[in-house]
Amino acid sequence: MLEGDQDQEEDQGGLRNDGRRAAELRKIRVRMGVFGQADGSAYLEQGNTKILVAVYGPHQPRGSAARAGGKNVGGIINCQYSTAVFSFSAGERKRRPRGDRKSIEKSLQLRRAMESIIQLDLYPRSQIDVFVEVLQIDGSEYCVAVNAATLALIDAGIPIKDYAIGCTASLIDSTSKNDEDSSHAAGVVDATYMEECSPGATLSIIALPGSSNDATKGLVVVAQGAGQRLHLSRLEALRNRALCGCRDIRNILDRAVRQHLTVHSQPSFSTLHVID
Amino acid sequence: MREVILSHCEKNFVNKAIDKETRLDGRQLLEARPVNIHFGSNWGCCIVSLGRTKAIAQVSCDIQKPKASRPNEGMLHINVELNPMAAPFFEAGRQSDPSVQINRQLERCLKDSKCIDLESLCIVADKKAWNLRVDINIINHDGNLVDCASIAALAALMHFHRPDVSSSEEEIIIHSFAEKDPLPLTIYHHPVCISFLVFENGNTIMDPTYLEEKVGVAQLTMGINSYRELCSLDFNYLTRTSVADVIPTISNQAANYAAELVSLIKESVRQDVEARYKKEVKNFGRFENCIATDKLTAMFTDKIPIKLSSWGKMDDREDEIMEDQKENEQIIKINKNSAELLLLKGDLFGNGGVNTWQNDSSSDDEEESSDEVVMVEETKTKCHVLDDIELSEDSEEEETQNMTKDDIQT
Repeated sequence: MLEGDQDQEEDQGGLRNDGRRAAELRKIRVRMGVFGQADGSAYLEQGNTKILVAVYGPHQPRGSAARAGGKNVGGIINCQYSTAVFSFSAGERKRRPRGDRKSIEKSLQLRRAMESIIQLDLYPRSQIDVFVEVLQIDGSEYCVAVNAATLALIDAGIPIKDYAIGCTASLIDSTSKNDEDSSHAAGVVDATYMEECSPGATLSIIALPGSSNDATKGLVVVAQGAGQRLHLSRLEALRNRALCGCRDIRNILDRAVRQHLTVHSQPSFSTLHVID
Repeated sequence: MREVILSHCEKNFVNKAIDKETRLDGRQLLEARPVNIHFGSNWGCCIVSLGRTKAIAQVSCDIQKPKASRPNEGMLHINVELNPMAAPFFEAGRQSDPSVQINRQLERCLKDSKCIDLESLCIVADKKAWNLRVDINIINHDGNLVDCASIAALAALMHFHRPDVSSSEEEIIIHSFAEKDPLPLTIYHHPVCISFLVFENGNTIMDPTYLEEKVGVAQLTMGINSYRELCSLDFNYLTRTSVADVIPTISNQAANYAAELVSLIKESVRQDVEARYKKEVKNFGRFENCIATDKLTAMFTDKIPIKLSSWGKMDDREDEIMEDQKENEQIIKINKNSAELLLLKGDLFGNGGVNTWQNDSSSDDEEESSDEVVMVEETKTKCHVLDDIELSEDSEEEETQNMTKDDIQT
């Protein structure tokens, strides 16, 4: 970061460029059941990152996944991660929505995350499809995709063990002096695109936070570091910061799910009441 | 061809061995296999072997128009090929899941960490820049492809020299190696991938082999440089069970080993490059040296790794052991706790030694015939036993039950 930017940061009173504090999340908007055709669907916004997920299944295995796992007695999860060509905010277009290495890698890791929460032994010889469409990118899109996929699974009524929650923690400027009292030293959660591109390091974590309030107890399922260099001594703090973010996101999503369910199951409760 | 499914017996065996903190090849849990680097005749070409895993890397360069988003930087492409040569279940020319994973891990480790100065590769801004391409072919798959590929890529990049370029107003001249000396790349720091594998019981091992990779529960790959800085991190579950978080406990070990490994790579690259600068004929560390002459096939080995819990205590007994063995074998002490049994080179068949193959020599025939004689005798005694039993069965049962083979023979 340039010298001028650092002065600016101090002027901001420890706030980030978009006015958040280090451990503050962006505004989260949730809609569940946005599609009629799909068995489950969800739309999730975290700041300007917008993601749509549809879940089909469980159904009879078909396609390449069935052939690959023909002998597999357990269920098969098929994930597709695609990024819309218009998703970049900078005006440039992505050439292909899927099929490049980054998309394949993200599909693979999305499948790992989904496998860790879905109770697959309940669905022998059946397939569950998860289709993720990234509509707009503004940082942490992979983590938001996992959150949205979890919501879509809940909407589809597929039993899961726990919420799989993704959160990023980013060290904006790893070259700066080691300011222990600065809140930015432990990294900032839920990084935006600008923060991810800054010369620091970003750690993406998919965790099962559980219902306990101890943030560091979360079980890390997938962890991925990107960016430039990060000294090992800072890894632990960054990880804890990300896990704290995971727990916060979980609480927000849990409340949203409960609200969605009470709103949409009200008529059926009332009809039951009438029958009684 | 489908990948062969591992049997439960093998799985249990590996798991039990890891439980007792031993590994099938006699390593410690957090011990890596030996690394060997051999360089080819061109700049930026090397073969790296990590135990039995082998990878060959070649760096090449050409001039292209730089990207519009980065007009004053050269480009770096990394491509890892998984051919059926490495293992029969890899398909040629297809982007399979493991190949995508290895490619992305290497890209994050070498490209995103900005270890190579790409700005120095720009010739004319927005018009011409060097495009570096690292091609890595896996030749043999014995687990831990990422580490092997990353060592190969780093060694090849450190070894690579690009042709010098001089530009006058409108045109640029690429000088051949004969005109001007080629230039090495500028490398800021040297990241390598270090892989770990976590097992069901929570034990973590370093540098897993193919067999161990199929049994393990979670894998962790850290891209780390010699200054204890993390450049990439990948943690994934392979199966659907959960283990405790291992990253904090082993990151220290990873950093120490990375520093060791980087200094090894640096040293071998330095030796080879210096020899080339002096135009010496170097007779070590080249491709021809990586083909072992004492073996009939490259993968066949006469070495038997022996793990000794305490080498020092074995010293007094060592003489007896040596007497037991044939004279053309030798124990070589490699590390503190391990040794290898090795054939002495001079006695090999190809080098004028005695043929140790036992195919159609006359002595073998004799041995076989004597074997047959023994067999006949045995069958005879068996016949006796049967006869006796049959005879005695008519009269009394108890006696037949008490009879043993020894009784009959005496």
